Amino acid sequence: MGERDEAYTEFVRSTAGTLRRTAYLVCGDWHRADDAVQDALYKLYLAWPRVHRAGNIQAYARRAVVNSAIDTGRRPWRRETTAAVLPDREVPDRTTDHADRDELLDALAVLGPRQRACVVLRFYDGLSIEETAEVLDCAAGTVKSQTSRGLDHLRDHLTRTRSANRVT
Amino acid sequence: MNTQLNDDELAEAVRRLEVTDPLPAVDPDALLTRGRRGVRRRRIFTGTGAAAVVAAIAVSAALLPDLGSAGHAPGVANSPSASPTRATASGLMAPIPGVSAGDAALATISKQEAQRRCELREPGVGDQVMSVGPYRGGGMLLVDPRYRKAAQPSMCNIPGDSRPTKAGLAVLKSDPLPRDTAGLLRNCSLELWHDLRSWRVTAKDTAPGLVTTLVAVSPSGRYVAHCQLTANGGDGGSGPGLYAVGPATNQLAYLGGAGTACPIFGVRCVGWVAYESGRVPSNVAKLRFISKNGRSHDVAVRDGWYALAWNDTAPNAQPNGPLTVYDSRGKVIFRR
Repeated sequence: MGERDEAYTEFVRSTAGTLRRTAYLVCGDWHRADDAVQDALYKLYLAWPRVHRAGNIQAYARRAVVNSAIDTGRRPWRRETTAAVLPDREVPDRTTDHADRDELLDALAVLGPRQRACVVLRFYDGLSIEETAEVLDCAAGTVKSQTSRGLDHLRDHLTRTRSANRVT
Repeated sequence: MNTQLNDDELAEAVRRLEVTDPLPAVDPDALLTRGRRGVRRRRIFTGTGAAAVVAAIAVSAALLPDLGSAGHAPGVANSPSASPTRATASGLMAPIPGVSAGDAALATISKQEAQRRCELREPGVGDQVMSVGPYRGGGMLLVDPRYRKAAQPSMCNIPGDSRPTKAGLAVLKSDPLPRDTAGLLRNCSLELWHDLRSWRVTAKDTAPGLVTTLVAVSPSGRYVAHCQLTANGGDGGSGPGLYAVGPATNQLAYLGGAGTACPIFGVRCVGWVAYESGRVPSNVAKLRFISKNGRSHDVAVRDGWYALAWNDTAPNAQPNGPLTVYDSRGKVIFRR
C-alpha cells in the first residue's frame, strides 16, 4: 500500500464515525448520512494529492459531507421500509436525559437544512463562525443569522411540544 | 428539559447531544478499492497515447445505451469480433462484445475469456484468478484475496451475454424490488449480467422492503438463474449466479440456513432475514419454516425449485429453526 493509500485509510478510520454523526444530525437519517460520508470520502480519495498538499483534509471532508447531507435531505428517500417490516418499537426510555435528547433531536428535525447545518456545525462540531461559513460556502453574517434563527426555532418547538405534553 | 433556555443553554444542549451510530463502521478498504477504480477511470479518459485511446473506446462502447433495434454497437479495438446485431433491453443493458446471445453465453469458455468478461465487471481482477476451471458464462471465478485486500479469496460472477448500462444501474437503485414478473426479470438480468427477459420464473419469495429471491429457468430448460434482489439495489456486481439445470442438490436438513441478521441492505429491520434458493426432491410441494415465536412462513415448491425470503422478527431469531416439509397431498415427509 502506497503512502497515499496508507494516509487515506488512516484518515477514514479516525474520522468517518465523527463525520457520519455530523451528517446524521444534518440530514436526520443514518442511511442518508452514510451515503453522504461514503460519497464525500470517495471524492476525497480522488482529490487527495491536491487536498493533502493544501493541508486542509479535515475541512475538505467536512465540507463535502455536510453539503452532501444537506443535498440528500432535499431528495426523496427511496429506501423507506414498507409498513410490513416496521421494526419493533423500542421501549421508550423514561430517563430525563434520553427524553431530553429525543426532544432535541425532534426539534432539530423541524429546522431548515441550512439552519440545522449551522446549529450542528457551530455547537455540535464546535466550529467558529468563520469555519462554519467556509464549510457552507456563505458569509459569516449568514452563519450568524441562520444560527440565531435556528436557535429561536428550536426554542419555539421545544416550548410548544412541552406545552402540548402537559395538556395531554 | 427547561424549554425557556437561552441561546447559550440551547447551544450547550446541542453540544452535549449523545448520538449513537447504529450502522457498522465505515470500511476504509472498500472505499480504497472504489477510489482506486475512480482514479483508473480518470487515467483512461485523460491519458495520452494509443493504449489510453483504445482503452477509452472499449470502456465507452461498453457503457453505451441501446442504439436501436438493430443493436449496432461501435467496433471495439483489440477485442474479439463484436456481435452487434441483437437488441438490448430498452437501453438498460448492452451486449458484451464477442459473446453470443442466450444459452451460448453460458457455455464452457476458456480461462482467458472468463478473465476478459470478469475484467468488465471488476476492473483489475483479470490477472488475479485462482480458479483452475472449467470456466463457463454465469459461473464463478475465484479471485486472489490480495486483489480485494481480503483474508479469503472472493468471487466474480462471470458475465453472460449482457452488461448493465448506467441507465440500468440507475433503475436498480430506483426500483430495487419490483413486484411484477417483468420487473423482477429485468433486475435479475442487470444483477447477473445476462438477458433473462424471456426466462420463466419458477419460484419467488419476498421479505417486503428487504429482499426478493427468484429462480428462473431458460426457455430451453437447460439453465437456471438464482437471483437475489436487495433493497439497496446492488450495483450489478456479483450475485448468486447462473447454472446448468441438474438434479436436486439442496438437502432438506440444511434449508433456511443462509441469511443475515438485521439490519441488512441499508435497511432497519429486526431479527433474522433468511434468503436462499435451490432445488429439493421433486416430491416436495411445500416448506414451512417456523419461528421461535410460533409464526411460520410457507414456501411453495414447483418441480423441486424453491425460493425463500423471510424476515423472522422473533427475538434472537437464528437460521436453521424448525422446518416441516410436505408433499403434494399435504403429508409430512420431513421435519427438522
